[in-house]
Amino acid sequence: MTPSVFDPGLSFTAVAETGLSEIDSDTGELRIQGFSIEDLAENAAYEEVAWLLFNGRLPTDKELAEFTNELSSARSLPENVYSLIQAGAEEGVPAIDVLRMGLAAGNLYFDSEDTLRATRRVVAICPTIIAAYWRYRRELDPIPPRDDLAHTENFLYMLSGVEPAESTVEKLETYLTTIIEHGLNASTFAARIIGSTGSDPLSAATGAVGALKGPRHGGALERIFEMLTGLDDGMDPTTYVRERLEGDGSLPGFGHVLYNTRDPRAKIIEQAAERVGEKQDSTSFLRNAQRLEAAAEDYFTERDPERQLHATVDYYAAVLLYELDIPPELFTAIFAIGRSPGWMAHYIEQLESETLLRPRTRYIGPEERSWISRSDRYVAGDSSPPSSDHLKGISSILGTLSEPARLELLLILYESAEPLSYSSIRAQSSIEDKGRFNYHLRKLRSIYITNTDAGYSLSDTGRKVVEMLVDDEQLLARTIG
Amino acid sequence: MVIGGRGEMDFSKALSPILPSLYISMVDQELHRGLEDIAVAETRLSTIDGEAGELIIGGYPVEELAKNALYEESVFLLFNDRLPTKSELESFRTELAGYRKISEEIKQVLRQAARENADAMDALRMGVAAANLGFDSTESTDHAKRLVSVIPTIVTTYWRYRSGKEPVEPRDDLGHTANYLYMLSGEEPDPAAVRGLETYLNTVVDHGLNASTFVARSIASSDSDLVSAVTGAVGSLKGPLHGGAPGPVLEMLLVAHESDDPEGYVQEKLDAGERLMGFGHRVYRTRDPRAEVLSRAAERLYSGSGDRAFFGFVEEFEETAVSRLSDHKPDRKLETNVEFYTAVLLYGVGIPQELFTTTFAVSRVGGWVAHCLEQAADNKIIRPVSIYVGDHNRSWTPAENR
Repeated sequence: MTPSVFDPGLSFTAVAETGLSEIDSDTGELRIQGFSIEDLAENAAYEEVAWLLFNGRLPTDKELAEFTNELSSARSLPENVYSLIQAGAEEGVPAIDVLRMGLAAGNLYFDSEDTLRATRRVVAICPTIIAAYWRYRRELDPIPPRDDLAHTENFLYMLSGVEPAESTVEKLETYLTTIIEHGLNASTFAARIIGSTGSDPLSAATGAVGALKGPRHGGALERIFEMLTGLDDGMDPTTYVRERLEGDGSLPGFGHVLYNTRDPRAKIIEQAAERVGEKQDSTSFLRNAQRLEAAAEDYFTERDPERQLHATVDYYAAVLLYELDIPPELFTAIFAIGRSPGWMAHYIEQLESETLLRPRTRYIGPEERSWISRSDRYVAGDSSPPSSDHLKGISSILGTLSEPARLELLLILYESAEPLSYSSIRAQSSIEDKGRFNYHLRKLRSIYITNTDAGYSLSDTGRKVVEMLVDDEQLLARTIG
Repeated sequence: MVIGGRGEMDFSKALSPILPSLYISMVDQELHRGLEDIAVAETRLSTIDGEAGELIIGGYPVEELAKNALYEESVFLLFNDRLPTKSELESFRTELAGYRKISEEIKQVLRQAARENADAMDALRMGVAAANLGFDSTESTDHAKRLVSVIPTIVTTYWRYRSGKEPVEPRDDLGHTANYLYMLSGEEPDPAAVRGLETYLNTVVDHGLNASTFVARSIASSDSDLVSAVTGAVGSLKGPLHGGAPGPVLEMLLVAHESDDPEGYVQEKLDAGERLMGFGHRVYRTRDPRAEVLSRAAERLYSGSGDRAFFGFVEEFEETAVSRLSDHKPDRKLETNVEFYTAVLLYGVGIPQELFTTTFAVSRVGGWVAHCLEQAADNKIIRPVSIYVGDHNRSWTPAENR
């Protein structure tokens, strides 16, 4: 079957039905299983929202206690995985790479035959891996998980070795809950593709972490943080915004592809950051970020009121995590802690749909080559030129061009920005006889012209030939003149 | 959106829209579950004509490439879009041979996986995920070569531990394929076995956007690294729907061979309503062109070595099965697929059945990394759309009221 649609980012193609989350771009609303994200961030414990994603409703007290217990009993890692994490930390490998290594080995010392149990394992070990990594990075021994502590609290405990302040736990939990799920971004989609083959949850999560690592995805947090630390109190934010946007054109943390409005999650995280500030009185970082946002809003409004870019959740996440004393080296990996239940819930949805994701390609390579033995291959500068005996083939290829009708066909294709259909070339050509036309077209195919589903176009070689005629030495103009 | 000459929808040139909601309004509300009608990437690496039963890799028909090339040559072709000269091939082989070693920590993890009898694919995922330990380069082409080189080492290290033996260090005077067999057995392999395996590795090196290649490209589309992309690909290859897992075919053939009655065996299976492994393909309507290549390679291998009788039986079995299948389901053409002769060939080469899928990965990693490099050269983040089918407006209920 020839594909009828070419959509390289798939941004115009719906690939799955989901009951997990819904985004309204116009009103700037995000709903998780029907609950507004504001509602969940304010009221729910992290484990509660994870349970909601897995089960489609809120848990009872008993169900929540069982789930919390299931997670806390799946947190431990074997010695060999600790050695792997230590090696990564000592080599200065980024946290997100070490998270990939740890998750990939997550079925060691764990009976992961049961798919649902394995999804809990993924959620449970992300914090253990990241905390151990950070301990090793500071040349400290890792702290084993404590199963009497809840998910978020235990993570902070494993990082520092002391029981964290309740207010810190609460704000980090707000962050993790707010980002728990957000539709088919690249990492979630990677998890779904892996699930589509019937593979296991640890494989899916490992793939998702791999995608999250990319600077176009989770990697944005670190760039935002760098930008914000580069601001000092004396700098004029308006000048800064203008210089950046008129310089390399980038302003990390602004413009979410799915929202016309400000990202609804940005507000939740900004408010959490403000609450940290009330107590700690160290809010110059937050205030600088807010001033920068205001300046950016003004700039975008002035530039084009129809096309404004607003702050994303990542923008204030960088502020909040910094204010909670979380090391910036862990920002992207902590995003994975938050998002892992979303990945797993999508993985299960895909698994249950029993649909293999196997898209098509558009082939733009050579049509058909024949094998050349090793000693006959010639690459300028790397081997000695072949003798004339071996050059008969190329001379016949060049001979194909010594026919005005064929050059005309090449020039017709050169003038068109898009591939041309057979009938359209035929209409433009001066060759009247259909048989002659077909003959010349056929002679040019494969070397000079390619024919794809979209129509005929010049091959790279064909284009170079025409360019030599029209541009380099103006050969064509000279001879026509 | 550009409407092409034949009514084709081309979104690749769609302008960045003014507002997300405008672009969302352009989304086709129809669901494309398996994406089998959507082209997601342009590629120069391979093309499949399912009707005609043709597969072209790097411009060469698979029949030509598979029997002539060294595996390193196929990989060079995928990376560079042309075959290497002699001296280029030599330096490419030397370079690959230099990237084979794995760190002590990876060995320990593989040893643990072997101790726990973890699946070979799980072990491979663990090893690949950590492949950047002890490897210092920021060049993605170096990582591409590293991944191609290191997979045989991971697979064989795991297998040696599984068999209660110490791993065999790679030998850099051996080519890629010979070294793989050497690390498995600890002995220098028979040239006929090397050629047989080499043909297999060339044959399955690339095959369009199957799920594993697609996940590799999707991960690469966030500008992530190749180790991450290949780890994801290994994870998806593990799934039973992916294909490339010829283990069950071998089991079937061995049982049928034991019975020495292909007719009876096939009839019994079909009467019982069971599937015959190794026949039928989602894409090919004819005999899978790769089955042809591999059956010839198997024929050469078996005619030179011991078990000629087994190969004779296999041919008879294939003939019987194809003809019975066409009587059984005249409307569906079920021809021999790549798994069938993969099982026969790899068995002949001496690869343990538990390593069939990982040996597929030993080959396909060349396609995975080449696709990632292609994706990076003309990248657009892969972020599809979903259709929400859940509840719309719920509000919070305190726990005591649930």
